[in-house]
Amino acid sequence: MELTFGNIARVNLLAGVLEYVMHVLLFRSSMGGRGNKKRTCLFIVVYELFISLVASSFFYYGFVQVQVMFVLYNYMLVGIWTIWIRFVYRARWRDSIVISAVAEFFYICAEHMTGFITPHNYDLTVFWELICYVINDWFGGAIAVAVMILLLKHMRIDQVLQYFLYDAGKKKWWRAAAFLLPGLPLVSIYLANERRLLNNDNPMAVLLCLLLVYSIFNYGMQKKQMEQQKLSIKQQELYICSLESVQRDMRMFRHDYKNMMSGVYVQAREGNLEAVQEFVSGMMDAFEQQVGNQIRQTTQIGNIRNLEIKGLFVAKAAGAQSRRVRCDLEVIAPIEKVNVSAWDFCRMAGILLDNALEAVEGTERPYFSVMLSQNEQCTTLRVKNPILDEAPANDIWLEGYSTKGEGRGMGLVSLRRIVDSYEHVFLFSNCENGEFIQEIKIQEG
Amino acid sequence: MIPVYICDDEETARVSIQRELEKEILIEGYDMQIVCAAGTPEELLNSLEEPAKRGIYFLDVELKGCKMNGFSLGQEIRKRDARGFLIYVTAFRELAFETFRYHLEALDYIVKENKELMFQGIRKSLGIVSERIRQEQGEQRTYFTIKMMDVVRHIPIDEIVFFETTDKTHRILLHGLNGRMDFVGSMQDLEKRLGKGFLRVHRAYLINTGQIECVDMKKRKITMKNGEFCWFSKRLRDTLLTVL
Repeated sequence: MELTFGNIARVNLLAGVLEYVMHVLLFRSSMGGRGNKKRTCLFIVVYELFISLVASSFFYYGFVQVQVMFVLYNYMLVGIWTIWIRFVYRARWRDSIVISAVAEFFYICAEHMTGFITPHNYDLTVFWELICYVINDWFGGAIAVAVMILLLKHMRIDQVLQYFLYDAGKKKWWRAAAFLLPGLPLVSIYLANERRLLNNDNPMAVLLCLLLVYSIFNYGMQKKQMEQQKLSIKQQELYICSLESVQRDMRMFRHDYKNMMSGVYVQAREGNLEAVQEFVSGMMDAFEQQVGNQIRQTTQIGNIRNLEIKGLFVAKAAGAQSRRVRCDLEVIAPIEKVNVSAWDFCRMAGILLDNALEAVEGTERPYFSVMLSQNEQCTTLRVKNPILDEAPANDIWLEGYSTKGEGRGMGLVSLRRIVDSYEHVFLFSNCENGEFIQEIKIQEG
Repeated sequence: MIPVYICDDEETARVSIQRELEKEILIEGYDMQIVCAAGTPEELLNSLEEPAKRGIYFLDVELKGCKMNGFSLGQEIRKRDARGFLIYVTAFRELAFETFRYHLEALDYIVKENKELMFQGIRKSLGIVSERIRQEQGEQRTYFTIKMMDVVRHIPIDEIVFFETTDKTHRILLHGLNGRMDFVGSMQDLEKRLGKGFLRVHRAYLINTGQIECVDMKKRKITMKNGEFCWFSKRLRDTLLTVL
């Protein structure tokens, strides 16, 4: 088939239909909605006009061979689709440009995936090669774009775009960055192809690999951060539960003593002093038992102003309680910030508390005490638990040692590792008077 | 004669404590005398001698309406009387006391809820005080003292097994019979301070020769009495032999 302008235009017209449909599907998933159906159907005329005239000219006059013209052509497409979004979805111009650029970027990437299955450049004058080209590029491209659309839907591209357009604050620079997106793959291809050095060195390809690996690492880091945050939130929820339970107990107690008070009032009026004394002392005991202890505990925890650390202590105290071990927490003055990362502090404290809990669980003296105090010089965390016998206090630092059986005993080694990673954190441990004491001191200021 | 001080903003409590103290001192025949029963922290601090004699202090924990609370008053007293006995008085039966004990080396606390409990508490604490004084007089042990930021630690020298350097600069790890601790210091300083009885067998180890269990000459390894190992360098082999 001869490559006359007419022939090219006809082929492009056909291609344009498929392209239009694929683009519409792509934009529907990007916008999260269908837009105006009538207008969608109307606009195909504009698009076909553009394709048959402009695209064909570019091909016919060989402009697509020139890199700059090729990029320009793609940006003209971006322009067309910008108008389309404005026309069909009535979005603001500045939003339309961004959405068009981002979607076109994905379209270009998907299209280019057919490169993996294209055996060689086609000579479109040969009829058989033209057929291959149609199948390969058009239908292969359509399948690739369809897969891309599914991927984008899975990634909730519409929500991401929404966020960037409306919620991400007033930063302007990312809009410019989005506008540059369509050019990115095209320029990269050019660089990868043209900047090949001796021995087929291809720095562009290598750079892209590096970026890929970096993204994977980044993803891993963010997953880890999210895990940490999830844990912290869980612990804080426990704290809220304990506060609510104290409130409940207070309400119940208030209800009870109101009844009792009316009885005592009568006795007081009758001069029955002994009965009144008995009642007062009994009430104080009852209060302490029911609510007093909880209040005391919550007050101590309330003095920890850092949410993550607070959450940790709540979780550990609750855990101890569920295992019938009493955890006496003492924080008599507020603690605002600590001179290590909250996460590291929580890990260190967690190890000490877990060890103390395990040491006393099921023994005759199932309790341990924790003191947390802070002054201008340092923050001190002190965990004390009773021990059965004078355990060899030095073996505990060896990996794998544990009085509780095989396969345990990694905690103190990890603790040592965290302490060693800071210049200003010190450990102290001692066995005396039937108690085992572990202390972490963090230098402030 | 040991001076006894009281500080409580409630007059009834003050009078009560004073009466009980005088009773107990008389009964047991302690060499103590009540020097001041103050209503405010300032009053008590002003009554201290310059330099302050070692005394016994009964302090209210709460001290309502005063700028200082019991804890800060204790800190002020400690500055002037480092070895005095601090005993706290509180209305709560279960006081969070560990912080007081740790930072102020407070002895104990007494509950002023009722007369019986308070009297028991006073008797107990005075008994502890006199027992402590007696113990100290008979004490022969020498201590290794190290100041860690806001506390001072005393470790009996005969409980120190060895010192070890760590990867961090100036960070020394003390291995004791009953525990271990790390602190900021230098091996040279320690060598000078501790003198005889401690031998620098290696760049990284300063050992207490009295805690050596056995020595393996071939592997150049010293086993200490608590089961831990130290290595010694070739040059010090002979010095080590002479010590042994």
